[in-house]
Amino acid sequence: MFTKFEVGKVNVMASSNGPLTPEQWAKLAADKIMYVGDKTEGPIRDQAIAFKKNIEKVVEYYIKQAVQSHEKHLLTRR
Amino acid sequence: MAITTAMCTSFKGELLQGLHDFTSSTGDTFKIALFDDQATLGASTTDYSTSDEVIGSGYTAGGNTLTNNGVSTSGTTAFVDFADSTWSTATITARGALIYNTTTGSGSGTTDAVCVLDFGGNKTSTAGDFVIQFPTANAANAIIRIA
Repeated sequence: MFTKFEVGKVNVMASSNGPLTPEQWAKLAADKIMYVGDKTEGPIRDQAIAFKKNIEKVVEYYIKQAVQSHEKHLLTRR
Repeated sequence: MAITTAMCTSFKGELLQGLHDFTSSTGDTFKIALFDDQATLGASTTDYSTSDEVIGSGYTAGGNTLTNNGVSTSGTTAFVDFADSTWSTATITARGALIYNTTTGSGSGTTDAVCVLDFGGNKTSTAGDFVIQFPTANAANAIIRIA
């Protein structure tokens, strides 16, 4: 029996002329929350991907809410 | 010229010599450096060097210091996790990265390679964020796993 040393796969996300968008952050969050394995097949895979997409949308919504809330807070402090 | 995802062979030997400490907070200091598509990095890489390292605004040679989340185990697998790393307001193009230890064996200023990461293609940020997200910390996906 051999001991295996393995290296995981990183995600790289980059932006232009500004920070990452809420959509990009939401995708990163969803990728961290849920991993759909390469070997998953058929309807289970479809269902998993659909569920992950839903997670991404929910996270995106709340990130946008957080940004709006933060911006309003900053405006009221001026 | 190629960058190939790999656990560096020298790192495996150094692990058996007890030279790398991945304990969270009190362990060694690990950094991640970015490289362009002219770099040759892989299992035979032994040390960080500035050769073909990314140059651009928002990036400093040597790369970012990683926040080590420590060692965990699940079943028969032990694994290490790092917090995601971001270069802000950066104008850079990178094809891959090298994680290395700057305090190997309780030393300082060391450059011992741990593993090489191939991004699969050039990734570019222009006056923006360049984020490396480490995989989920579990036995099947974590960045460094020993099974």
